[in-house]
Amino acid sequence: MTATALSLVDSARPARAVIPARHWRWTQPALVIVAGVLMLGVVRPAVFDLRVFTLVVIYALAAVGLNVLVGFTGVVSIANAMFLAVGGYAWARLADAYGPGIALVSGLVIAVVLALVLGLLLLRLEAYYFAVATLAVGSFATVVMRNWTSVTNSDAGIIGLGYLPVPGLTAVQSVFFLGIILLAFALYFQETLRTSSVGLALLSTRFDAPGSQALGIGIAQSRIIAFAFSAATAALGGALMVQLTGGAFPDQFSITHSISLLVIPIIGGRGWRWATIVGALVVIALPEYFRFLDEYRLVAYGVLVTLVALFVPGGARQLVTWMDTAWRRGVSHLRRKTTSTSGAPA
Amino acid sequence: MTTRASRLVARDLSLAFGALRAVDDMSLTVERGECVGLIGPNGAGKSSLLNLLSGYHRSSTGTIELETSGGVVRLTRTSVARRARAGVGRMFQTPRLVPELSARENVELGWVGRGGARRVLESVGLPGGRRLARARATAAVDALTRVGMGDRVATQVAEMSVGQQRLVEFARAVVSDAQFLLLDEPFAGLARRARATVADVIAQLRDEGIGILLVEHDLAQVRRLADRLVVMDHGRLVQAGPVQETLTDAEVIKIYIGDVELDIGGAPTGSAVAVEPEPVKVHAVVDTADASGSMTPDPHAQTAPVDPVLVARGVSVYYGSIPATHEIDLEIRPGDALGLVGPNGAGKSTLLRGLAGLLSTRGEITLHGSRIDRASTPRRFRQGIGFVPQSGTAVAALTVAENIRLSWLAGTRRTSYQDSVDRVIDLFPEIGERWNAHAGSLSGGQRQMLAIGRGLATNPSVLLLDEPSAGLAPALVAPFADALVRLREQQVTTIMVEHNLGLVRASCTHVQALRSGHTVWSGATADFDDRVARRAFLGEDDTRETNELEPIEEAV
Repeated sequence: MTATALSLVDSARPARAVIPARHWRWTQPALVIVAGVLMLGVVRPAVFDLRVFTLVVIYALAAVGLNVLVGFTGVVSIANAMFLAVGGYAWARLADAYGPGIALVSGLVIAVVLALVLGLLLLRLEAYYFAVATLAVGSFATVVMRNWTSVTNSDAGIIGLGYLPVPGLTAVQSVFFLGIILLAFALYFQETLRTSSVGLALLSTRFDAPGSQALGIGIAQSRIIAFAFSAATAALGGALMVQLTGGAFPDQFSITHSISLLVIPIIGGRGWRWATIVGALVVIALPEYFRFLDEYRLVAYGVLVTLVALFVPGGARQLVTWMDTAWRRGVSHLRRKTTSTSGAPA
Repeated sequence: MTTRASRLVARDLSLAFGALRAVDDMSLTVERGECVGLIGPNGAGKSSLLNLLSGYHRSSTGTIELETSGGVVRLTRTSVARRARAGVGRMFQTPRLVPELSARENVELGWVGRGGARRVLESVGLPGGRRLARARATAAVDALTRVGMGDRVATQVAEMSVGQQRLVEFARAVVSDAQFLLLDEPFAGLARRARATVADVIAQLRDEGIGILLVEHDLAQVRRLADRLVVMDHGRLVQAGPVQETLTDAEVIKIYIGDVELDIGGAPTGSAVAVEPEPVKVHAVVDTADASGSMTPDPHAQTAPVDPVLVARGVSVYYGSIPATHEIDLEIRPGDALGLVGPNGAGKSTLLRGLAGLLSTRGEITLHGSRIDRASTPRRFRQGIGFVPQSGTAVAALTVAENIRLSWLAGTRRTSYQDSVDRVIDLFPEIGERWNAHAGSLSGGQRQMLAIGRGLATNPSVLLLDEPSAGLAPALVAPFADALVRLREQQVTTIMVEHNLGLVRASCTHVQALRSGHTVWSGATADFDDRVARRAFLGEDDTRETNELEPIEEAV
C-alpha cells in the first residue's frame, strides 16, 4: 500500500540519461570549416550548386541567433529579415567607402542596437503577442525600405556591389568561404552561450518563466539578450546575401524571408546545435533540387514540410534521436546475441 | 553577498482579488536559523502570502524588509528576481526544474544571478569565464552531495522521481545562497521515506542558519520541524505561538478540523444560527438514524445482498507524475452517502476528481459492474457519474433554466427533461423562483444550489460533491443538510468531500477518513466519534509516521 508508483529517494534507478560534461566547443566549428574547405577544394561543385550551398550557409548563419531565441527562450520573432536588411544595406553603403570590416561591424552594431530598443519596447509582451508585434514591425520595415530612397534607393535597389575577395577564389567561392568562417564563429558562440550561466538562464525562462524569476533571473533581460544575438547573426547573413547577389533590394528582405528564417531552426530542431545547418539544407536547398518536378515543385515541398510538422514536430533532431536509439538498441541486441552464443558452448 | 541577513520582516500585508481579501493585514517575522510553520485551511491565503513575500503579487499595504548586518533592505516594491538575488528563495508545490538538463546544470541555475562581468566573458567563451564555470560546477556538485544526491550529478532531471527532484531543488537553494526559504508544501506528493529525507535536509538548512517559512498540511512534519507556528484563516492571522500549544488551541482545532462536537450550524460564526436550525437539525439527525437503520445496511451487517453502485480498487490519482492518493479502496451502495473527510492536502478532492475522470488515475473504478477508469469524463457523465466541483460551476451568462438544460443534455438522460426539472425545483424551491435569472446574478448559496441542481439534472447514479457547504452562509448549512438527506431518500447515491463534520454526520451514512493520500479510517457514521476524528485529522501521536493507524480501525 505504501510502496506505490512513487519511487523513493534512493531507489536504484539506472542513470541512463546521463548528460556528458561540456562539449568541446571547437568541435562543431572545426567540422564546419573542414566541410567547407573540402567543398571548395575536393568536391568543386558546379556554379549553380555552389550558389545554392552558399545560400544555405548564409541562411544557416543568419538563423543561428533565431535558433537561440526560439530554441533557448521559446520566443518567436517574425521580424528578422529586418536585421538581414540592416546588414545588407550597411554593406551596400559602407563597404566601398570605409572597407569591408567597418561595413560588417557597423551593420552588426546597428542591428543589435535596433534589437535592444525593440526588445525593451516589445519584450514586456507575452510571447505570442511579441510574435504578432514583430510581424507588424517587419511589415513596417518593408515599407521603410521601399520609401527611404536616399538610403535604399527604393525598389530599384543598390547594384554593382562588391564582395570580400579571398585570394585564389572566384566571387561565389569567396562569399562561400567567408560564410563558412562566420558560421563557424556563430556556432562557437551558440555553444559557449548554451553552456554558460547566461544560456542556462535563457533555457530556464523557456521552461518555466515565473519559476526562473524566483532564481533571480530577469525574464525580459534574458529575452533581450537572445533577441540581440538573433539580430547580430541575421545582420552578418544579410551582408553576405548582398555580396552573393551583387545588389541590395527590398524583395530580398520581405516577410517571406523572415518566415524562412524562422522555419529553419524549427525544421532543424529548436535549440539543437546543428539545427540551422540541417534546417537551411531543407528549407533552402531542397526546393532547388525539386526543380525536376516543374510546377509541382512547391506543392511537393509544402507537403513535405506539412508532414514534418505533423509527424516529426521535434524537427530533424528528433529523427536523429530516433536513429540513435535504434542504433543503440541494435548494438546492445547484437552484443547480447554474441555473448549468448559465445557463452553457450561453455 | 557580503552582508548576512538576520531577519525577514513583513508588516501589515494585504492582497485582494476583486472582493475577496486573500491576505488581510498579515504581519510575520522569520529569524535566521528558525523554521516557522504556516498552517491553515484551503483558501486561507497561505500561498498568497508566500507570493506577496516573494514578489509575485504586490501588497496593497504594508512593508517587507530584510534586516541585515549592513542595515535594512526594503523589498516592498522590488521584483521577484531582485528579491531572489537579495536572498529570499521560493520553492513551489511541484518541483520546478528544467527536465532536459542534468541535476548539476539545474543546481547551477541557482547561481546564474551571480558572477557579474565574468558572466559575459563566459558566455562568449573567454578564459576569465572558464574559472567562473568551474567554480559554479564545483559549488553545484558540493551542494548535491550535501543533500545526498552526490551520485546523481549527471542524471537528467526528467529521469528522476519527485523526491529526488525535490532534493535537487534544495541543492539549488543552497547554491543560490538564499538566506530565507519560502517552502510551499515541500512534502506534497512524497512517499514516507522521501518525506523523512526531505525533512532531514530542511532541518539541516535551518541549523546552518537559513530562515525557513514552511507551509505544510502534513502536521507530523510541521511538528517535527517548526520552532513556532502561525495559523491563518480567511487571509488573517488566527493564532501564533509555540507548536504544541497552538495545535491544541481550541480555535485552531475548530478551523482545521471543523468543530468536532458541532451541530449542523457549527461554522465559525455559529451563534447566528443558534435559534433557527434546531428543528431542522433534529429532523436531519432522525433521518440519519432512520437511514442507517432501515434504508441502508450497516456496514458490519454483511447480509445485505445489494450490489455496490460504485467500487474503486487501489485508485491512485496523479497530478502529472505525482500521485496524490495512494491505492485508495472505496465502495458505495445505492442510496448511501459517503463522506470523505480528512485534513487539507489529504487527497479528498483529488480522489473525487479522479473518479470523475478529470485527473489521470491508476487502479480500477467500476460503476454498476462495468469498468469506467479508462473512459473520458463526458462518457463517465453519460454512464451515471455526476460531479459538482467546489466552485465556478454555472455558466454565468446563461439563465438558471439554460444551465440546468445544459447539464441534462450532458448527463444520462434517464428521465425526461421535465422530470429532472421538477426534481430540482422540488429539492431547491429557491432555484425555481429564480428560474429565468442569469446564473451570475444568484447569491452564493443559490449558486451552490444551482450547482447541485445541475449535478442532479444529469440523473446520476452517483453524485460526487466537492465541499458542497463551502461558500454557504452558516444559516444555510442546516437547510442544506436537510436537502441532502431528502436527496438520499430519493435513492441518489452521493460521495461528498466536506469539512463541516456536522454536515457529514447529518447527511452521510458512511465516513472515510484520508490523510496524506491514504485511507486512515472508514466505517459507519455512528462510529466516527470525536476521538477518531481527532486522530484522523491531527495525526496525534503520529510523529513517527509508521503504521500505528491500524489500531484505530481495530479500536472502532
